[in-house]
Amino acid sequence: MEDQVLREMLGAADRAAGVLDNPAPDLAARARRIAGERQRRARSARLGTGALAVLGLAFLVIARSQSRSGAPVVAAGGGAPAGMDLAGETDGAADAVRWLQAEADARMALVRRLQAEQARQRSAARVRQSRSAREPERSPEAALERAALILVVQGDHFSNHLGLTSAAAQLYSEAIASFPETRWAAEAHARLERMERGERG
Amino acid sequence: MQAATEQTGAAPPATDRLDERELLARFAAGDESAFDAIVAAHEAAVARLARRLLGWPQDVGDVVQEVFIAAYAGLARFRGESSLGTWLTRITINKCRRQLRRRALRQVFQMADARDRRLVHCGSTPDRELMNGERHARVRRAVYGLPDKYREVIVLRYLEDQSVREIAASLAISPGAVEVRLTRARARLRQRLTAFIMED
Repeated sequence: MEDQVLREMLGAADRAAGVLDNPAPDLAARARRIAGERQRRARSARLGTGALAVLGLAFLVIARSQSRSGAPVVAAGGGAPAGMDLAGETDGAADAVRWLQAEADARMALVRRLQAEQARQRSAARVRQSRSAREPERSPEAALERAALILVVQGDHFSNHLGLTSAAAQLYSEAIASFPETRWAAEAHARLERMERGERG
Repeated sequence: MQAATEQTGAAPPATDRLDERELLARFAAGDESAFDAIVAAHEAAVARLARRLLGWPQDVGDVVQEVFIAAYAGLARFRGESSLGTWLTRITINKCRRQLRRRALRQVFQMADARDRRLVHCGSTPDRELMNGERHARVRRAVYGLPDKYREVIVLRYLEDQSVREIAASLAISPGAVEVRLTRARARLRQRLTAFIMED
C-alpha cells in the first residue's frame, strides 16, 4: 500500500466521520474559572498539609523535650498514665504519647512471643509429619507393595515399549504369585486378563 | 469556528509567532482577554486533533476543556521555545492518552461504532454508500486500534499534515524516533487494513 493511498484512505475516513458538534461558546471563561478553582483547592491542600506537618513537628519536639526533662513515663504493664498532668494541655498530650508508646511496646512484645510460639509449633508438626511419612516404607507391607510394583512396571515396559508380551506376562504372573495380597498383584492380574483379550498391558 | 472545525487534513490554524508573543505578554501582564484570543485561535484545531486521537467520537468537549484548563494553568510557565500550537498539541496528546486510559471512553467508542454500523446498514442509503461507509468506519477502527504511540504519529502525519520535525516537537522525541514509529505504525496499519479489505 503506497503512502499516498494510505493518506487518501485516512483522509476519506476522517471526512466521512462528519463534523464535530458546535463547541461551547464560553470555553475560555469556563476553563479560566475551573483552573482558578483547582489552583485554589491545590493551594488550600498545600497549606493544610503544611500546617499539619508543623503541628506534628511541634508535637514531636515537645514530646522529646518532656522525655529529656525526666517527666514520668508510664510503666510497660499498661493502664492509665500515672503522672499525667491535665493542668497543661501540652504536658497531657506528651504524656498520652508516651503512654501510647509504652502500650504499643508491650503489645509488640506479646505479638513477638506469640509468633515465636507458633513457629515452634509449626516446626514440631513438620518433624512429626516427616516421621509418620517415613514409617510406611519401613513396614513389611510397604516393602511387599514396592516389590510387586517393580515387577508390574518392568512388565509394562516389556509389553508397551519392547513388545515382549510373553516376558511381560511372566513378570505379572510372578507378581501375582510372589505378592498375592498386594494391590499391585491385583493390577498385574488385570493386565494379564487384558493381554488374554488381545489388548496391550 | 465551525468552519475551522470542518477543516480536515490541514495543519492547525495558529496565530503567528509575533502575535503569540504579544498575547503571551498581555497574559503575563494580567490581561485575561489574551487567553480568550488563544482559545478562539486554537479551539477548533485542538478539538479536531482530540477527536482523531480518541477514535472519532462525536463529543470531545470534556477533553478540549481539560486541555485549555491545563493551558491556562501552565501558560505563565510557557517559555515560548516552541509555538503555542505545538505546545497545545502536546497537551492535547497527553490529555487524550489520559482519557483513553479511562475505560469509559472505550464504551463511548463502542457506542459510536454501533452508531456507525446502524448508519451503514440503514435501508435508504444506496449500496455504494453503504460499502464506503463501512469501509471508512473500518479504517477509523483500524487507526483507533493502534497503540497510542503509533496512532499519534499516524494522526499527526497523515491527518494533521505535520512534518516529522513538528511531530518530534509535539511528542518531545527525536525525528529519528518519529521515523521509526511511523514505519512501524504504517506496517501495522497496512496489516490491519489489508485484513479489512480481505473481509470485503
